[in-house]
Amino acid sequence: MSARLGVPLVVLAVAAAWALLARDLPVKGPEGPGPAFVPLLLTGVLALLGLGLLASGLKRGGLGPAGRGPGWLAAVLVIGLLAVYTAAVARVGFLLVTPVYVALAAWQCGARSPRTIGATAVGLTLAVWLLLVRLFRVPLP
Amino acid sequence: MTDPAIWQALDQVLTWQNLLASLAGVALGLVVGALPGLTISLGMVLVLPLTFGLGSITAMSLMLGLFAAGMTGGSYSAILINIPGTPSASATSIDGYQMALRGEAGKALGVSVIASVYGGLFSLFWLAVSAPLIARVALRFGAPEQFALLTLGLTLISAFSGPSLTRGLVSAVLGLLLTTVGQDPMLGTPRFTFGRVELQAGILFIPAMIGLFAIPQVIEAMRAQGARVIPRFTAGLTALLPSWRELRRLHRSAFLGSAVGTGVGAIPGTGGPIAVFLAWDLARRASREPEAFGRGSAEGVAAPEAANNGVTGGALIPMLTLGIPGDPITAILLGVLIIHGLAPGPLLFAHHPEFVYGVFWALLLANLMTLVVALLAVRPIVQVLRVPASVLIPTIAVLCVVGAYGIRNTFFDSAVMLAFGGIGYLLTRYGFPVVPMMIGLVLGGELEEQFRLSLTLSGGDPTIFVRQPIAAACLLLTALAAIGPWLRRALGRG
Repeated sequence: MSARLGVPLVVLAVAAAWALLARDLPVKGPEGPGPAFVPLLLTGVLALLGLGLLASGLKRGGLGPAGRGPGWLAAVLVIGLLAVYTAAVARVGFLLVTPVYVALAAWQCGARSPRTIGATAVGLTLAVWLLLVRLFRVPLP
Repeated sequence: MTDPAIWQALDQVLTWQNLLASLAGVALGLVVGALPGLTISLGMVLVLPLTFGLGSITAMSLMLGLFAAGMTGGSYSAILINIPGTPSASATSIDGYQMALRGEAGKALGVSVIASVYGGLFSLFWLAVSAPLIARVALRFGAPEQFALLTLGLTLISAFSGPSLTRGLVSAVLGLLLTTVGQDPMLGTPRFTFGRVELQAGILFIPAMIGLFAIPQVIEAMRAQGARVIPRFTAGLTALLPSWRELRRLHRSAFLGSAVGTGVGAIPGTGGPIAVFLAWDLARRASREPEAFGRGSAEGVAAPEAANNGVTGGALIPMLTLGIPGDPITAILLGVLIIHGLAPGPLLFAHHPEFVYGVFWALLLANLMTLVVALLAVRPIVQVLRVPASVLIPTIAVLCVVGAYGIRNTFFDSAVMLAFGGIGYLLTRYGFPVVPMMIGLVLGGELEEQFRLSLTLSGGDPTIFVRQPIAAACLLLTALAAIGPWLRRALGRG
């Protein structure tokens, strides 16, 4: 399925899912609208916008720029690596994990000299640690 | 007689902590602005978690320094290497780079810095004059007017943030929907929390902002293997300051640019990129040498540079007086206010006048510091342009994770930041602007509260929104903004 049709369908699915999640909340409160009122109103607006996108998508060339495709690999790699880094900092500690992450990220950004990668990893870790822990008193693990 | 709060505020601003914060903000702003690929918003979201531990005026001094200097910094790379450091510096490169090729890079930089500060001071004057007056009028607004005004602001931002209003609105509504996570603002009922205690207070917009702005840039940089192709700048930098006679000749362009920047900046959703091209074009039409524009005219540098710093004061007008952030930068500034327990809007002027005047003084300080630092630090900033992406990108990534953690000292916020990073990347890749989502996240709570309060007051009668003239006018403008593009297309076909 092309992005022109797939994207509007995702928008419609989000609207439907959110409306489904709101089904157990009261629409009416004691003196006015209840907790579900605004979420349901917004899902209605989102569904209308999704239908608008779908209608434009069905008309050839009517949707404007359809985007450049997701570039999944890079996105999953960057976010995945950051998620692993986040989990590792929480368990192992900032000073031990950050140099490893920085070295990997620097390599991913095109650095190839071991000296540059090593210096970046150690220098950046210490600089951020000094800034956050010493200056701003953030209790990093 | 002058309000004594003005001078109390000056006393508060002139402390060594605030001067240091302003200087740090200016230095950081010049670097972030000068580096192509880094934006002022990115610099501000990375610094935002650090402002928790600072006083409100110190935090604003830091952020306003970054804002004002970032606008100026964008011109360095625009002039020296023909790559605008920020979108607002795009028009500066047209004439600035031509001047650099002619061996007048130093003069182009000098003109750009002086015009920037001129624009910044011009817009500060209008901010100081108009904001208290607007706030006084806005104090009379009730819940329906506030709801209608916020709706209008959000619609304008959606309309101006990309080529498709529908896509902008989808992004905004998604942002609004996400603000319904957490306790219901009126009754306290938990909504969409899935039993997670961390979600009871809702989604914090700071980790969301960091994710939306920074992570897509990190992904893009790593996709490109950090390839930041920056031509080497080798020419010497001489004669940074234009002569007095040249400055007098540039006055008209700088004035026009400042006026355009201040006016455009005050309209939510517009901002620097629109103002600078408008200013460049107006200055060309008003110039005695229009044919020199595009071929290295100093006037062609002065007008857009005055305009992009003119935006700084202009953009603060709706943010401070009505609580409507017109762009990501003012949304982040609004975040600083909320972090420090200050609600932006007309009540801010009534309850915390010394803070409001403090913001004006801090902006004045930021502009004056930009003038000094930007002229003195030309050579170090040129060196910064050569910092490789393999150092910059990991720095940003690490700051995103630990910055989000530092907000409440929980890695749950880092996870939220990463989730929004993914959302921001997907939105961008599929042609949806992220700015409306961000503004939706900031305004969502207030919008729902005012909407429900209006309906509660009217006993559920929705005509309350059209019975008040200001609310009705705002909603009419909202409808016009929403159907405008469709109407234009229909008329064009007819």
